[in-house]
Amino acid sequence: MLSVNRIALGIILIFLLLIPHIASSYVVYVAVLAILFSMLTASYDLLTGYAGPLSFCHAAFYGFGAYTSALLTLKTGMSFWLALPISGIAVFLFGVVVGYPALRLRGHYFAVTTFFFGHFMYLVFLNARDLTRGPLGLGGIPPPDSIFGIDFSSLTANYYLILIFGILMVGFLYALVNSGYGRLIVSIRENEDLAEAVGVNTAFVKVMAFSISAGLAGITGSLFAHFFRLLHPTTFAWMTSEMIVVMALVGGIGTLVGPIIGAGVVTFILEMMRFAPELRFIIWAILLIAILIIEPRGLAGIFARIRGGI
Amino acid sequence: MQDLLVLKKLTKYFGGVAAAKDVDLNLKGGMRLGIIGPNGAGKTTIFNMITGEIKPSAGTIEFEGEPIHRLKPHHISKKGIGRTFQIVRVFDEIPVYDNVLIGALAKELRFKPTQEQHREVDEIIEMTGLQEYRELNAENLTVSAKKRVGLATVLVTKPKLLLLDELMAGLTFVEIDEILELLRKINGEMGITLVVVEHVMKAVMELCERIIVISSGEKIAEGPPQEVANNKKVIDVYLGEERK
Repeated sequence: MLSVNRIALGIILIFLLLIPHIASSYVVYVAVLAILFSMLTASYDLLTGYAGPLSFCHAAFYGFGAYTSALLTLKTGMSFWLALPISGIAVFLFGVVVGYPALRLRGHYFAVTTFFFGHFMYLVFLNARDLTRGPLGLGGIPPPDSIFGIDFSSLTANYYLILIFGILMVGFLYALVNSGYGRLIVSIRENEDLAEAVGVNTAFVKVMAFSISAGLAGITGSLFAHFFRLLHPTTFAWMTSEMIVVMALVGGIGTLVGPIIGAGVVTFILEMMRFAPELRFIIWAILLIAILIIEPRGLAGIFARIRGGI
Repeated sequence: MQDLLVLKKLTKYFGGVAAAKDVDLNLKGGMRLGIIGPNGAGKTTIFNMITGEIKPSAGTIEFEGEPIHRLKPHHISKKGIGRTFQIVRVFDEIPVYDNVLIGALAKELRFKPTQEQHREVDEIIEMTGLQEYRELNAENLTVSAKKRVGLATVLVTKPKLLLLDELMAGLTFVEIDEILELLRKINGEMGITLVVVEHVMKAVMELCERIIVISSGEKIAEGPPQEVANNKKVIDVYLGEERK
């Protein structure tokens, strides 16, 4: 049956597929940015929206994946197609190492810990000059190698590559949150003590949600590195983590689709406001406050209200 | 027959205060045991130690002959001990059906819940009288219905021993009678051993075969309901000692 959701999804997909053919290369760049941010917010939603802990270090994992992938291809000459999964797995494992002790903390304590961890990682990117070249930026990153005869030196090919990874990631997350595992993840958000009492290994489930979320951010980082081909520590600083949180909130966390819409909307709004660089973040802040006052569940909540006719 | 649950000299100190002191208990499978005592006597502390939420300062807990006092709550749950909470706990912002389904999935994790699991959830929802609420978010229910959701969520994990912490508190007489009937069914038909902490004396007297009385962390009496109700020590604890 064709539901409103499916029609909307179909229209958005067709639109996304057409972008490189109907829009200027500037718009395509912004669209790539929006898709990358959608992947970040969607993976972020698995942790904060579904499992519950509020995290402020998603950009750290994004950066870790980006630098890992870039350095693997630069220093060892590894193919992008190998570096991408390796950086995803590396960030996942890093997530386990960080998440296991950090997730013993709850609520604000966890949030503050992730905040400082995020900043710590930024300082690592900035100061490990032998590896990352620090503030000079890491350049010369190769584009994805050609595969199946597709050459990835063009913008259009790269756009489709990132779009396909975006669709795959969202599909994976959708399947995950709607599975049995997803229900256990939600049980932690709803009541951790009760979940533990009925037999959910809450520590394990939380660490997994954290690490999968991190690993997916790592994969996104790898895509970012080989698309823009230049990495700079500020890209992965506090500001980006905060952007991810804000985009997810504006879209409506715990809905998967909300944060994706949030990322798209926010990226384009911020781009459109480039005419007034000084006012950009002021207008944006007012908009954010307005949305959250009108509907704390974000854009997803507003859509639900319109459709529910309430 | 081996005892289902054995507490030996179970003790818990919070700082210098003994919340439970040298509590001994042997519980046979299939029983209905009541734990009563004044507020702050340590009843919930004993529950929390059995379910692993807090670790005993001293003493041991054996379940089916196996020590469990060092295990984590989810391990203990897997061994077959379920509980409800004094302050009602449900998974608030999801439907009643999904609340119960989480219990089934916690018992046996499947990527996609099986037909069998859905059937079990349906059965338990019907048994606990929650059919009309199954699509509603648990947070929107009355206290009485929330308590039944909590009960359904733990029942679906098929515990051998069920610890009920003040399940009747705040309920009307009619609701108490309904819950009592349900508990008899859980004990009789499903064969689940019950331990209830309760302040509603009528419920304890009607339901339980044996009662232990806790005061200031210590067990001061144990026996059949009538015997305990007439025990002088118990009366003193509840009503104060008679002036001489």
